[in-house]
Amino acid sequence: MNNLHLLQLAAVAYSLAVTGYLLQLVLKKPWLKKLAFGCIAGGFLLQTACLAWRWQLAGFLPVTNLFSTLFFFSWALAACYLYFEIRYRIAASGLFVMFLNLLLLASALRRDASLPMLIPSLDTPFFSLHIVFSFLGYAFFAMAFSLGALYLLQRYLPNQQLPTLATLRKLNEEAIFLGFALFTLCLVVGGIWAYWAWGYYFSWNIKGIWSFLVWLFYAGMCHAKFIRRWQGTGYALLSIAGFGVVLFTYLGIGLLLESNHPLE
Amino acid sequence: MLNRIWNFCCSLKLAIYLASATTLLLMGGSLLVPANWRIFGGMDQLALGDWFSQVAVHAPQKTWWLYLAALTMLLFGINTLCCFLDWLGNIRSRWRKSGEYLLHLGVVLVLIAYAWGSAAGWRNNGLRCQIGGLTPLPDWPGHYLRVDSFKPLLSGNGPPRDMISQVSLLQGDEVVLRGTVQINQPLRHKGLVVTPVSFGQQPVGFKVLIQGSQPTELIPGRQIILTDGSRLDVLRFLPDARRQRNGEIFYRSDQLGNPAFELSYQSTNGQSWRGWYFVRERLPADLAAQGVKLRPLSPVLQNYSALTVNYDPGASLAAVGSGLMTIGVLLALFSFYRKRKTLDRPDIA
Repeated sequence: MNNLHLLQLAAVAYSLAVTGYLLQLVLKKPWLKKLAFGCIAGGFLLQTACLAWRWQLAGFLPVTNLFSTLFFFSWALAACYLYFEIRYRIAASGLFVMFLNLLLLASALRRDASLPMLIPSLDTPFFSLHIVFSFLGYAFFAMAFSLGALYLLQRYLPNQQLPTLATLRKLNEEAIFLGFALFTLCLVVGGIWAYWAWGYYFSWNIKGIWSFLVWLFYAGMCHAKFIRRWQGTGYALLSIAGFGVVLFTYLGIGLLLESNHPLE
Repeated sequence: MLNRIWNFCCSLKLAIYLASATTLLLMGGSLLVPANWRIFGGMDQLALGDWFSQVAVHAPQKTWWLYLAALTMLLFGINTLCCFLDWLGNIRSRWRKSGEYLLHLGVVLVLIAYAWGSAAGWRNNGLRCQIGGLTPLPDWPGHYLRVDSFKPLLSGNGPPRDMISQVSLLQGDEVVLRGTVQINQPLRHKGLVVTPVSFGQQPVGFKVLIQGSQPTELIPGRQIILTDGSRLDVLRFLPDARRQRNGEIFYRSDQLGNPAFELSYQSTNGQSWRGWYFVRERLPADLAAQGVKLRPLSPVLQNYSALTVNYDPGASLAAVGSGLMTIGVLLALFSFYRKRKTLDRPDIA
């Protein structure tokens, strides 16, 4: 058995969980919800074990190529989902996050999983912290997207099975706040690392500019929740737009444009 | 009236408008970056102020968005500072928001630090420092960098695992700073930061046979007494030089291409000559007429350590700002969970 088998098992567990939640929406059986939650918790444990195994094999947090960042983003999404599920019992409300998780895993499993050599400038705890905060922040922004989309659904196509608009709004605000807090720490740590490695703390590379944009966008959102006009629908729309900025920053720049954060 | 102006300056809506304007400007403008590498590619190699004055000013149609973004960021910074001051004035009733407002102060300090560093700082990217030699710092007259020793740690076929330079910073003849520069372990001193970039060998002269005798190294500063008592001084060496039609000599690159020496010759009978000798060509006729014979053998190579030397007077302030941002975020998280626990937890079945 190698570490990838753990990842494949985790993917199976997540698929079962998504199926369980979908069936629960139709059949309305409480045990299906519990089973789905158990599958996600099990999948997360398997994925965590896989991550720990790969970390131990590499000697560093392996997040330096597309396979490992997809893998790590997927792990962060599962952690974020569990946070909301354990805290608020959101159940199928977080389905989008789990769909995205499966999509990332499916994409990761088709790629070369070998552990790349570490570039010396990445060999620092600052880099590991930068990545951890960054992907946890992205995961909360993904959750905010999911909750924003559900808010719009509940508003225009009301459904008894979804949480109330007030709850969705509060959860969305929490996801944005936590994502923003983590992403702020990501930028602070990244700035310190860049200064130590290259002698400046902000790079005008397109990835640097867009990371700052992600931060600025969500900083604006943390303020927008206090303005009546932007509460509710406006906030939900901003959550959806914000995740577009996140996706472009993570995947668009790395895959489509030339940057100092290439994805291959 | 003053109250209205103050309220406008602290306004939440103003913050959102300015953040939105900056976001849109940077979003649109940044898409020009990959396609205009000649303009934007060197932004990290120069302090932003220098980049504006040396590069951006020559391409206003491609860089105007950065001027506007700088303006909106300045206004955003002022707005954030006003919000912080407003909170400070009402701290008794709003102390629970300490985390959020420490974050505001941190952002303001980082913005001030960046503006200060951009205006008063400078950057020298990848300075080639010969081991043991003095390298003048172009932006800091009278200061030199000396790499006392250099040791690369190599790893199989991949990139070097580390590049360790023992570096001294000199002001005139006086050593003002000494330390080690390694990957992720820069040498730092009052805003100055020295980081490693690469290393290699560069040609500094040529080994030659003079008058058929022992091989001699022709390197700048060297004085050679020939067998007949005449003197040859090596004034300059260019690894890759070009001769213009008017006879002027130009430096082309640090790579070995068309090497040339500037030499000075003094014969025993008082005759003298000064000029350029291109290694790939014949010896200048005047020198040959004096009976000088030179036969180039191989280039003399010297190790160098390429270092980035940046000066950012705002770096310490930025560090303080980052620290405040971190404390602010942690306090805000603490206060968020406390609030949710006591008052504000959503009621979910």
